Amino acid sequence: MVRFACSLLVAALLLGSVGLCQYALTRRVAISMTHAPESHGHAEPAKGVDASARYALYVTLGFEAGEDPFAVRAADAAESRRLVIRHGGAELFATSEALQRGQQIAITNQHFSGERVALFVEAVPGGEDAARPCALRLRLECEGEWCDEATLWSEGNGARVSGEVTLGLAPRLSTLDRGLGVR
Amino acid sequence: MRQCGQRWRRWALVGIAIGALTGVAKADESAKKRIVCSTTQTADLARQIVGDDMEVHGILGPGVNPHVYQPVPGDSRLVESADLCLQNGLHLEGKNWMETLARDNGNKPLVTCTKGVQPLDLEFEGQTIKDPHAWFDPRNGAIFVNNILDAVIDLDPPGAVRYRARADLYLQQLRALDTWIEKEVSRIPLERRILVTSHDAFNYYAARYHFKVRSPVGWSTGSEIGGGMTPERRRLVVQSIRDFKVPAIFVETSVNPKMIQQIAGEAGVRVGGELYSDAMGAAGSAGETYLGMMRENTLTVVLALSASE
Ligand SMILES: [Zn+2]
Repeated sequence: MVRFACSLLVAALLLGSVGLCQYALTRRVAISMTHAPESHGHAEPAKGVDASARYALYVTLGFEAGEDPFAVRAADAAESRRLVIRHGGAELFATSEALQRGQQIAITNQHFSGERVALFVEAVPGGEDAARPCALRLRLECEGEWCDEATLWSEGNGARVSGEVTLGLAPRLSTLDRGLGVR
Repeated sequence: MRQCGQRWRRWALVGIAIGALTGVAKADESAKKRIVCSTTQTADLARQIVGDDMEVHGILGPGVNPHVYQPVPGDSRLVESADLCLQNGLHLEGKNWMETLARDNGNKPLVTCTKGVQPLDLEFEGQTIKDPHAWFDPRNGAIFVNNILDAVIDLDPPGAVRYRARADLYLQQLRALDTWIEKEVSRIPLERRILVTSHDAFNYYAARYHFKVRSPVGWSTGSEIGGGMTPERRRLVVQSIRDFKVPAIFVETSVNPKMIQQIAGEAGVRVGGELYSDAMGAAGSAGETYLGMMRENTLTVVLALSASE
């Protein structure tokens, strides 16, 4: 009788531990499933974009933006601008100053709404770079958190780096795929 | 009789109308502003900008050397009729003959196309001379274009949109030319990029496309400081040809080819062809425009210097 009771207890203990293991395993898989995009670099955007969130746009030039030796001499200040960034018809940034290759320009305290923002960017490669294809990189952050980034190329040698770039507004986790950008 | 009178009246009206229209056309023709240019290069660039809106005349013809040119009475009459005069400047026009012509024939407005160019300095016996052959760098060609554009807009402000449009299109052609030359020249290994020419006209081209230059005659074929041939310079040219194993040397369209031919014989090197230098080519030749001149020179140089011995 005692032997029978002991056998039952051992069997119950074994079953219980197997069940516990199974439960733990199931839970672990569930946890790793929710984190999967992080490790693969495909995070889901956070739900909802806070309308009061402040964005910062970082523009990094892969070329010298300066006087184009093959341009008609500017008739006024508006024509001599080296870099212009517009959003919805309004200018976020414009400068007539020469800009160095590798220089990063930070445009901070911006408010955007919706899921994506469309920015028009135009830069004038100058000096030696006026004869080469050129690119610039745009990176958007929300309250210090990475949202999106893109690369804009010129159409060819000496052409302006010019075009509309759309960037996602939802903050994402920071270890994401950096993407190939837009051309 | 009455019918005959009416017919006459009708014909008279037609005659008056034709006369008036011809008169208007003639007046329009003569109303065109006139630009007189010293060199073939400045005249071509001016033509590219003004199109048919103005008349452009050049004083120097194809192949004529600006360093030693002596103006003739016809030049004075031409300048007298001008609304605007253009010159290269930096003393390319020997003894400043274009400035003299513009001043002495009605004090005509004179625009110097090299204004704003960063000139290359040539050292000669302790003196510094500004090299006037600036057009051989297409980026300087673009400065010429912008200077001419400003001048023609001042002369005819209502035409500004047309002049700017033509200048814009032409500058894109200069950009393409510059990139094309860079690509073509890349066929010549760096150690073989030595340009031996009649006179020292290709420094800007050399600086832009990484050549060394050697010439028996200085920056001018005239008697200015640093100009003319010196035995020392001639000796250095022959020496350089031997030292660098230069495969070919070049004569120029606006300079007597005799000396280069002699040097070629002496140094045992061949003449690689003829380069357009201080003047462009005759009408109908490949070098009749600035773009054509630069293209032909590049093809001649690349063909001669990249060919294996
Ligand atoms: Zn010369």
